[in-house]
Amino acid sequence: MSAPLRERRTAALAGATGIVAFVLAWEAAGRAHALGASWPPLSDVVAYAADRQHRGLLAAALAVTAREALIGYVAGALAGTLLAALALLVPPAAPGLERFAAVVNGVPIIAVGSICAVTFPPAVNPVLVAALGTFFLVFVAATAGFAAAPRAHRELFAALGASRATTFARLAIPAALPALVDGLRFAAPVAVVGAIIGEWFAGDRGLGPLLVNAMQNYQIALLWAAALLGALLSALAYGVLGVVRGAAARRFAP
Amino acid sequence: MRGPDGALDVALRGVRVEFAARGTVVRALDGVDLALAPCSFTALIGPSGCGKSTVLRLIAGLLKPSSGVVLAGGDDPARIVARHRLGIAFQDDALLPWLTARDNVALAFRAAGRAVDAARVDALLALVGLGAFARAFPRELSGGMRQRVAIARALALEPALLLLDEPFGALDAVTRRHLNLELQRLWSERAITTLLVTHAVEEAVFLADRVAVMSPRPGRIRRLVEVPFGRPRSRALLADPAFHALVDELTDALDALGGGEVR
Repeated sequence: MSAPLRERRTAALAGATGIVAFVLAWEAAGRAHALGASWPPLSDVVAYAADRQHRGLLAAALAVTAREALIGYVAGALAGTLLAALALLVPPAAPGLERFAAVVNGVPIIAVGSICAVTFPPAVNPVLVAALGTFFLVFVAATAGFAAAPRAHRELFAALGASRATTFARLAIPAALPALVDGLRFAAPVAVVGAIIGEWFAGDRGLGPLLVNAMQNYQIALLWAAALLGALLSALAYGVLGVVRGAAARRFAP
Repeated sequence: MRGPDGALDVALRGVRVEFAARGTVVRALDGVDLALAPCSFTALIGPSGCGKSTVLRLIAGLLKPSSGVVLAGGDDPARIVARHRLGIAFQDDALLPWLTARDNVALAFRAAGRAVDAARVDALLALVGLGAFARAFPRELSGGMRQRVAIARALALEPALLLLDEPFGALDAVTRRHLNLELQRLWSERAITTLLVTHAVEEAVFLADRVAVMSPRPGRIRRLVEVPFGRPRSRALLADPAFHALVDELTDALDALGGGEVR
């Protein structure tokens, strides 16, 4: 176990180095006004966000977006997993479901956002866009996961006379977990971005409207602070699910 | 537990198996006739790729013949499988990595939709020498230990038919010989109708009542040789000149069949 541990340490060190380099480059570019006034140093953005006057506004917007992203994420993940399970258990439905998922994913997010904005109440739109993005990634991951059980395992269940339901519950689902959690992990930032895009089109609260207002009013620090919070929310969700993924891979991978 | 009650016979008559591969039809088996008497132990040997495993998969109901008849207990093998009367072990131990050794053996009950007989599961683990490893996960066990768990699982439901597809094929020679001795002991106490597919002539002669020799593809049964040694068989048999004479005879028979490498 010592070699993988060393590799993991090296990877963590490389990641930390990358982040530090990125932060320093941002700070330096801002300080030097290399990209003009619209590119402030990171320290200014952080100071702005931490300021007592702006903290409440940003925190409220972040909470709204996080809540929308979470609801959309859970709904999309459930829909993706259930439809993938349906495709597995009802094989004739599989090609149709796969095409449906591909079409859902193929429609440009701009079109979906606009159509949803005129169709649904503003509060629903961010949740819906977050759910759609999550749905496709999780559907693909779950479909791959449900097919991940090795042939020897499937033949074992067949030879033991296991029913389709038993095989699904005791083989397909556990074998799918590493791939499924992988999909859930990649879908988490997509849900956050989806919620912000949904707000951009129709929302009246959250980070999206904050970004729109800040952009139109040329409030550079606010714009960057809102963007930074969105990115941090994505990174947090991705990181937490990375830990879950590690645990799932250790336990369930063949 | 010896005796015909519940024991099954198996019959293959004129079995042909063909499958499509890269636009051509490949004939894997052609005219295979084989009968397994109730409570007998038959070993199937033959050159690599001759279709030994295909015969086993037919009897397990995992594959249908293109023509010919496969019967287990006078019935479609699928019926035997549906009644959970089949025990099976593969070269890939096929243990579920997320289950402990105990839960992997108990899986036979759960797959059959039956209540787990915990006492029987523990007794089987003890029988294969893994009583102390009941809570170990497969990744914590050696290859030989994993195969023992797979054998225990194959025996869990008191099967009427036991199919072993090169179960020790991936193990080193010492472990393999050890497990052959154990399997011989386990089997002599039960006498389940058994088919063992193997590359190893010595293993076949040591374990079986009868050795069937297959030809290269398209596979058919070329020879049936009775193994005259009584049971239980011990390590001493491995040093018996008569044992080696039979192993040599069968090895020569395999060599004479040609068809590429013979292991």
